[in-house]
Amino acid sequence: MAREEFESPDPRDPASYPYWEEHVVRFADQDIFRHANHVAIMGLFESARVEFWGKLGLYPFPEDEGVMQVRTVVDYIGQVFHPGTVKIGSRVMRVGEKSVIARQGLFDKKGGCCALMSTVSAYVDYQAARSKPFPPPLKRFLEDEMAKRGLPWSAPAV
Amino acid sequence: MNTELTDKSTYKHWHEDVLRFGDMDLVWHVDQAVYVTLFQGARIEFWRWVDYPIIGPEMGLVMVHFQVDIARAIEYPGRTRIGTRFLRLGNSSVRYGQLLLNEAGEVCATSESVNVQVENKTNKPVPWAPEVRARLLAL
Amino acid sequence: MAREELESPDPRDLAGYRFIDAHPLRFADQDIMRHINNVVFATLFETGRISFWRDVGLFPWPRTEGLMLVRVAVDYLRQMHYPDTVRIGSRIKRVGRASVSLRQALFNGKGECCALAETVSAHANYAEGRSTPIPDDLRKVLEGAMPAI
Repeated sequence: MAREEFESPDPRDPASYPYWEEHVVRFADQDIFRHANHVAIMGLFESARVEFWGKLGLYPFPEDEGVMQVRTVVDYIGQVFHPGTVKIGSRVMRVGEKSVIARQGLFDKKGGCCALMSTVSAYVDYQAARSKPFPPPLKRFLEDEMAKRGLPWSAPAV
Repeated sequence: MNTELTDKSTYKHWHEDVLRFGDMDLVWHVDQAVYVTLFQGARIEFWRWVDYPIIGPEMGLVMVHFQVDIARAIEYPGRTRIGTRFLRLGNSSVRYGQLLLNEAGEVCATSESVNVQVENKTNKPVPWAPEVRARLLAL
Repeated sequence: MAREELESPDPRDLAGYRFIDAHPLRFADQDIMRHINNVVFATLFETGRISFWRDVGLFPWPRTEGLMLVRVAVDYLRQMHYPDTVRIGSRIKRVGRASVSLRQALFNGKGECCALAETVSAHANYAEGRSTPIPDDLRKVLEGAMPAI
């Protein structure tokens, strides 16, 4: 995928992710192709993303305002099989005035990249259902997060 | 399978659903976990039909027993119809009988389940109010 | 969304889809935000996509080779709420050398466009897990299904 080769750091490199979650592939995640269905993989990414927001202090979502996703893109690179576990790395990729992009990679036990995801989340006033600028301290906090990287795969920080 | 539950004429409320590709497991059958979702959806619709709030600010219903008997596999693509009725009304609980039919109207599964009405804060059972009880028994 | 405005017919217009699949939302589709969960959008797009392939005559796939999903992009335009019945429009956007792109849109009961999806499926040999060029007979079917609305 040429697209990812131009991206820095390479999202297929586990060392580019500072935050990790481990998930178990369930029997029910399989479809008729006997691999984890692509929606199940989105579910795994979603779960890991919520856990990532939790580590950043953005989840549980406040009642009044918080992040809400507006665009997701998943690239399926390799198949995921049951039984097994996967590790999902997450990091902040970009911060705008009103939105943040989370970059995530899903890896098998050997560190092989099975899927990549990017998610654009808007900062939203839930009652009004309208996007609004990040409060300045939160924006600065997310910008600091952008610089964080992980450890080499030999020592995954799960 | 409980033959008391397979009589279609005993159900007044029916809920229809459309099966999804993602509902299938690796042997092209609707996965067992989806039965829980399908029966749950029918019960939720049943209560909307009864017009009683089961997810209230102070109290709500929780599931304490769920049992499914499967007579034949449900196959995608297709629609399902689920009939739901009360089998027994307890002090603060209710036992349901449910019947799941495929698009051809064949009996695929029956289910029996029990909900208890509890106070959200304490999780303690809350008896049905007399007027609610009378209304539910009239069904 | 400038991207979609340039596409013709407008992907947010229900009338631009010849193939439409309808599905009632389920109670269990809701998440803690009391709206329809984003992953459910992907499930709905998937089921609309398989229905579309079935309509075209391509599903079930052959056992040895066929289309395999390699990329999904979803734009969430508005929230969806239970109860409602949604409609999923699907059409072929582009047929490439070894892949095909589908354009899909999700509409609520009022006919408002709630989400757009673009999916890329590669033609693959399943055993080898390698993409292969789309054979001529399949290409004919795909191009025949590209709508002139």
